[in-house]
Amino acid sequence: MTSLGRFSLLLAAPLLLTRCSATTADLEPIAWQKVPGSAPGGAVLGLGNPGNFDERGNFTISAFKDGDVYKLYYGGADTTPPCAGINSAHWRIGLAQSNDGLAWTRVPGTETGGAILDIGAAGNFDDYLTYRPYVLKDGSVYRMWYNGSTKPFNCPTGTLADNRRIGYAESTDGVHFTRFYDGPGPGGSVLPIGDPGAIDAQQVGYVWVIRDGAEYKMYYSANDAGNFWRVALAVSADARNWTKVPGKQFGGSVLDLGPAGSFDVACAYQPSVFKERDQLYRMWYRGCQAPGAFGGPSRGVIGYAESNDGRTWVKVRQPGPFGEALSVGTAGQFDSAGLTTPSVFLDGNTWTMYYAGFDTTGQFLTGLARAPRR
Amino acid sequence: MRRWGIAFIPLALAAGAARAQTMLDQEQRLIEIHSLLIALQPGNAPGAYRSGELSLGLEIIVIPPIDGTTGGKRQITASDQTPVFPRPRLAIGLPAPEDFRAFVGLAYIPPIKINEVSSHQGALEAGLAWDRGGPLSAGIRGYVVVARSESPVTEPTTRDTLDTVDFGADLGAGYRFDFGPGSVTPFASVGVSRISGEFHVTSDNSVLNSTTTNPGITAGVRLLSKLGLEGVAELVVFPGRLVHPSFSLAWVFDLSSKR
Repeated sequence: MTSLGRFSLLLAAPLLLTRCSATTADLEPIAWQKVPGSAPGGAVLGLGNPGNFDERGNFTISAFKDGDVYKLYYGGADTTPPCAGINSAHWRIGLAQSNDGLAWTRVPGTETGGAILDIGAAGNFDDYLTYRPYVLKDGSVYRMWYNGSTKPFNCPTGTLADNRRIGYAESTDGVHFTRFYDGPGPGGSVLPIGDPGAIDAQQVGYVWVIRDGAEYKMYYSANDAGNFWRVALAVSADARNWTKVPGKQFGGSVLDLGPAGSFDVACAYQPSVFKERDQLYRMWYRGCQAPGAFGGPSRGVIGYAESNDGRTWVKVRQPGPFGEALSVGTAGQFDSAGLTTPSVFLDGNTWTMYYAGFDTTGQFLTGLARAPRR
Repeated sequence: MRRWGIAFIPLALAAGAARAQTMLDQEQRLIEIHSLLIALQPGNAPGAYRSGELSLGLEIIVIPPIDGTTGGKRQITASDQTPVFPRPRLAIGLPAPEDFRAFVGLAYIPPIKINEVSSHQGALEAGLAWDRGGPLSAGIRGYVVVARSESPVTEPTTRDTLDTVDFGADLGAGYRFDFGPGSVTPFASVGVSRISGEFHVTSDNSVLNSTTTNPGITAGVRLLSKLGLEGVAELVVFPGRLVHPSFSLAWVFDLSSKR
């Protein structure tokens, strides 16, 4: 080969390389592992004693670590007839505490059946159901937002509660809460419902609030006239007066339903939001693959989304069979039929998720999953 | 030729990327890739220019396929817009002590919008090389790049902005082979590039940042004709981030002989 030929080949060498590349790298999602508890089916919180407010089930939880103590706020169902399971039950709010996050002790409240927050007095927006507490320890104040309704969950069968509103209560000890009925929503609830046609035209609830610098962000579940649930956002400077902030997704939501065939095509709501660091917000939420027999959510798994600013969210596929972060349990487990209300926080270097699960008989209990932080 | 190809393979393999933990990791990786793409790499063998020599050239930077997947979304990347982009470069040899050569260089791209993309950047480089007139030369070089690029990234209808400041330094060596009509000089360098990228998402009015220090390896070859035409091909490797070639064609002449 001539010298010139060799030099030409040298010049061309970079072109001959086939591995020129630039990649954002594959994601390595958080690897959740369910932690079996000692309650039935591997749940971590079993049924309350007979006569207690939560003897029929516990569900719609939120949890956090308060100093060295884990606190689990939850909704509990009694046995109010006539419909089966939790469908005609009154739902109230209870508290359990733990030193290890696995073995829980109920904190007896002073309200009906040991609840810490009873249903509202007759005529209030929360006089039948008072549940799904979300508690934010904000300085010396425990702020609680909860769901309230004047209707039973599903009784007579096929008649679903359709007037959930957001309630607010405060406490200085995390046990004794005082309600406020001073919001701009119906009956003094926290948020007004949307105009006809809006994504929150029918119901609002399932709140998660974070304090983000000087701003409080409330991620709330918005329910439209077709009984589809999405996630929407409101912000506040004082945690009391809220302004809805339209998101970029359908109808102003910040998290919309998934496309046809996805695990969250029928519902995407009940957010649990964690700001890990600047530019990194994480959200876990409940997704439903199909509507229930009478409309509304059904079954359910836990999905995952991320955001850089807490306002624009992108769903991120996770390792579950349908892209979910946490799947239903196997037959015989307490969560074999569906998962609801994820509640995630970082416990040292361990991601910790409490959630409510239910089996094929409609029995609701609370479960735990953990994952190492990488 | 096969031996040369084999020599490049370890450099290319070094670009294997670590896995990302979050969508943010992937977004920051995209900022880094696009910032490194405009890093001012050596573009030549150390001591390429004698005092008084001026090189006026055009660099063609090849953009490899950039996977814009971040979380459940796909961002529009530079490779979706164009396979290459040009960068005019100028270098001039400076007076230096005996057995040394020095140079300064400039690069500039004006803010001309083509296909909804514009990149306004300026760069400065300077280097000093040991060169006793024999075939072997070795040198050190430093550079800084300041750039603002505007293009649709997050959505096809918006124009997002990436502000980048890159600076770095490298150590290089070259070996010149003289032949009839000119010379050919294979060269290689190792160095580091510090990049700070600030990505402005127009539709969200939000900002993403990434600041990293990246080791870099460059290998290339310079072909210089006695008529003053210069061609350079080089492969740039930032392990875990980016592997891409660039090519340049320049006219080299001696300013002192023109006077």
